[in-house]
Amino acid sequence: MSDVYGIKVSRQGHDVKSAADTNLSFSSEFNTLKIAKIIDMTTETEVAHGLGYIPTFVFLRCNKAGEYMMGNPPYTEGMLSSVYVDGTNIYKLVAAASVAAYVVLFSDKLDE
Amino acid sequence: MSSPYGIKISKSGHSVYDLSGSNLVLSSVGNTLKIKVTGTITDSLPGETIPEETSKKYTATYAHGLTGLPMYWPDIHDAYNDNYDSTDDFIVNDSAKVEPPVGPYSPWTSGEWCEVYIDSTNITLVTNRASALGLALTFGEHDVIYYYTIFYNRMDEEVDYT
Repeated sequence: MSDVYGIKVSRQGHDVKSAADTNLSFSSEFNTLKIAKIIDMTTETEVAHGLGYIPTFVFLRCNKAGEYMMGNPPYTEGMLSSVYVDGTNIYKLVAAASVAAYVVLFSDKLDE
Repeated sequence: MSSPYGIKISKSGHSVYDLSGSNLVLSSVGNTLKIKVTGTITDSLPGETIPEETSKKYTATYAHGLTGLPMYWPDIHDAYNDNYDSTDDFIVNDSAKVEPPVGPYSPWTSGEWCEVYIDSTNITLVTNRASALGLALTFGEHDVIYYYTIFYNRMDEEVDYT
């Protein structure tokens, strides 16, 4: 065993000492997505995220009143309120009115 | 140290005292994604002919039972069923990023395609069926199936763990 430190937690019914990776609830042998921030971009088109690198991210945007979709909008809606990031900022493209969007930034670098 | 409890595990070659979250495998200072439930939502669609320039919309839901707007996966936008006239079931996930064909009766105004959205109560699978300009379309009887993962993590609430 090359890594003599760390934590493994197995799923119920599996021995942590022999369980396949898929039967582990957690293993520090692998990286885990860690939420750093959730930012409400509803009234914003550009926000400095302050992480200093390009973070892994996902986002939820309003499709219709009360209805939200993960990720970029359907092509039928053009690029209304698409969200993207760089090493400094989060950007929301807005074609018309302000659209609700929530962006989850992870501590994990996207470009690594 | 404001939080005198918890766990941090660093990546190999990095000190656990490194303050950069990107060099940690796990830190209980922040939050991780936690799966609440996985399952399927099915739209059972009839065989039918839709007259020209008309459309139908079918929905099926699953009540997520969580507060606010939880994260779900995968995202589905315009997942297009190339075999809409078939009786073969359509697995939405297989076509998650397949955009409808562009053609004289398109874009996105004919055929069968799906979207998934979430609100504070349900996750909803929407299947659209539409004919084309001057052309009725016949659709096969089949199920449209979406495999979902819903997380406990709420997305509509600002947090800052940095």
